[in-house]
Amino acid sequence: MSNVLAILQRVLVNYFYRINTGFFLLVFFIMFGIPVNVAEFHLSLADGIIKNPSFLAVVMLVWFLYNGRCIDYVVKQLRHPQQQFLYCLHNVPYIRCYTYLLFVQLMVYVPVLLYAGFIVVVAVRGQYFISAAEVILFNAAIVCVTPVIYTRVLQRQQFAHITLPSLKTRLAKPLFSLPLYHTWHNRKQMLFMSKLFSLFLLYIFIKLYHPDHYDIRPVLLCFMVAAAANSALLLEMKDFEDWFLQMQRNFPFTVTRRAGKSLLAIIVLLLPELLFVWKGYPLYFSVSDYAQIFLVGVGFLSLCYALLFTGDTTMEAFMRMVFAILIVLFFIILYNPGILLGMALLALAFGLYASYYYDFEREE
Amino acid sequence: MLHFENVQKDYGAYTALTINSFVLNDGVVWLRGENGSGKTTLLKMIAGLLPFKGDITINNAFSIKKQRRQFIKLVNYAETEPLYPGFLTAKELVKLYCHAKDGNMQETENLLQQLHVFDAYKKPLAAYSSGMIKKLSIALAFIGSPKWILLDEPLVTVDVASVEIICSLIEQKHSAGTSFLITSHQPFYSGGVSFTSSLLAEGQTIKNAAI
Repeated sequence: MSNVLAILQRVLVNYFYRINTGFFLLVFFIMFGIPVNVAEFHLSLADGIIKNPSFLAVVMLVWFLYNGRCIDYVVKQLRHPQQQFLYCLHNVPYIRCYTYLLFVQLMVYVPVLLYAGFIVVVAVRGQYFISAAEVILFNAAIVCVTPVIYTRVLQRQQFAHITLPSLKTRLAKPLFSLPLYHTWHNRKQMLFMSKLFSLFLLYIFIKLYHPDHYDIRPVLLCFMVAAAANSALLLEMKDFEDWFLQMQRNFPFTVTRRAGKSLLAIIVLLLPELLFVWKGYPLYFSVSDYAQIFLVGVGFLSLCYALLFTGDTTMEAFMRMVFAILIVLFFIILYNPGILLGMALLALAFGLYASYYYDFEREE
Repeated sequence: MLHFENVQKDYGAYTALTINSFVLNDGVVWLRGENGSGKTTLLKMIAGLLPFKGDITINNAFSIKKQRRQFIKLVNYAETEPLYPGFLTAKELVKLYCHAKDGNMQETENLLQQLHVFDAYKKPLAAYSSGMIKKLSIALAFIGSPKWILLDEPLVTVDVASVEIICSLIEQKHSAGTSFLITSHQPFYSGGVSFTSSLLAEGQTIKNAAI
C-alpha cells in the first residue's frame, strides 16, 4: 500500500503543489506577509469567522472553490494519457481504491485543513461550539465525498465533471488573444480563482479605505498587488506560447509587433481590475489618474512577462521575481513618481523583450 | 540558396551542430541522418525557431540575424509533430497563417481538399487525429511565397493515398521555383519526389552526400 501512496504522492500531489506554487506563495504573502502583527491578525480573523455566520459562509465558499480547483486538477490528471497506468488501480477493491484517493484528497486539501483546524481551536476556546462543529462537518463532508468523484473517474464511470461554461460563440481570434483563449478554455479554474482573488482584494480595499483627501498612492499599491495576482496566469500564457504558438517565430513580424501583441493581451487581462477600481472610486480621481493606475499595472505585468524571456524559469522562481519587483515598486510609489513610473516600466519591459525574445529557448 | 557561416548550436554544454561554411543550393534536398544527428535542430534554426551562433543568409540577400523579417518571410516550416491550440479550427489557423504570410486562403483550402481534411475544416483541432494535424501542418507550410519549405518527416502518420499527393505537391511547388529541405527516415516512392541533392547530418555537422 505504501508503494501506491508514494506513487500517488509523486504523480498527483507533488505536481499539484509545483504548478500552484505561485498561487500558494501569493496567498501566503497576503495572509502572512502583509499584516504587521500576524498572530493578532489571524486571531481577529478567526474570531470574526466564528462569530459572524455570513463571514463563515463566505469562508466556506472559498474553501469550496479551492476544493473545486483540487477536483479539476486531480480529474484532469487521472484522465491524462501520461497517467493511464493508474488505471491498474481499477483492479483493487473499491474501498482500497477509495482509501488511496482519500489520501490524495487529504494531501491536496491540507492547506485548508490546517487553517480550519486553527479556526476550530479558536472556536472551542471561545466556547463557540456550533461554529466549530460547522467547520468540522463542512470539511469532513468535502474530504469524504471528493474521493468518491476521483474513484468514479479512475474507474472510467460516466460522470459529468465540473467545468465552467465554454464560450461557444465563434468570435474572431487574433493572434494576441490566443493565450487568453487558452486560459479561458484550459485553465478556467486558475483564471477564475486569480480574478476572484484580485477583485476580492480590490473590493476589501475599496470598502476599508475611505480617504479624506486626494492620494493616489494607496490605490496604486493595492492595484499592483491585485495585478500580481495575475502573474501565475502570465506564466501559463508564456508556457502556452512556447508549446502551441512556436510557429509564430516563423511569422515575419518585427519584434515591436510581437511586443505589441503581448501588451494587448496584458491590457485585456487587466481590464476587469481597472473597471472595478473605476466603479469603486468615482469621486476622488480624474481620468488621468485612472490612466496612471492602469499604466502602472500594465507596465508591471509587462515587465514580469518580459522577464520570462530572460531564461527558462519555474513558477517558484518567477513568483520570487514578481515579489521582488513588487517590493521595489512599493518604495518607488511612496515617492509619487506619477505617470513616469508606468512609462519607465513599459520601456524597461520592451527593452528586455526585444533583447531576449529571439535568444530565448526553452529547456525541454 | 542558403549560406551558413560559422553556425553553431549548443544545448547547454553540448554542441549539437557546427557548420563552419556551407552553401545549400536550391532544389529538392533530402536531409538524412540518424536519430539525434541534428536534422530537426537544423530545420528549426533555419525557420527561426531556435537561437544559434553564426549566421544564415538566403540568396545572398537577407541574413536571419540582420534582416530577420525578410528572411523568415522566405522560409516556411512544418514540424514532425506539430502542436496547435486545440480550441482553434483549421479555418482559423489557415486565416492566421495567410494573414502572417500574405497567403491565399482559397489555395490552402484547395490543398486541404486534396489532402482530404477539408471536411473537418470548421472543427476544433482538438478533434483532429495526428494524421490530420500532420496534413494540415504541411498545407500551412505551402502558404505564401516561400523560397524554401522545410518539411520535417512529412510522411510520418500520413496515409498512403496522401503520401502520393504530398509528393506531387512538392513537385509542383518546386517547378514553380520553391526549394525544399526534407528530412525523412522513410524512403519516398520511386518517382514520387525527384531529389536534386542530399545532405547527411553526421558528427555534429552536415555534409553533401549521394542520393
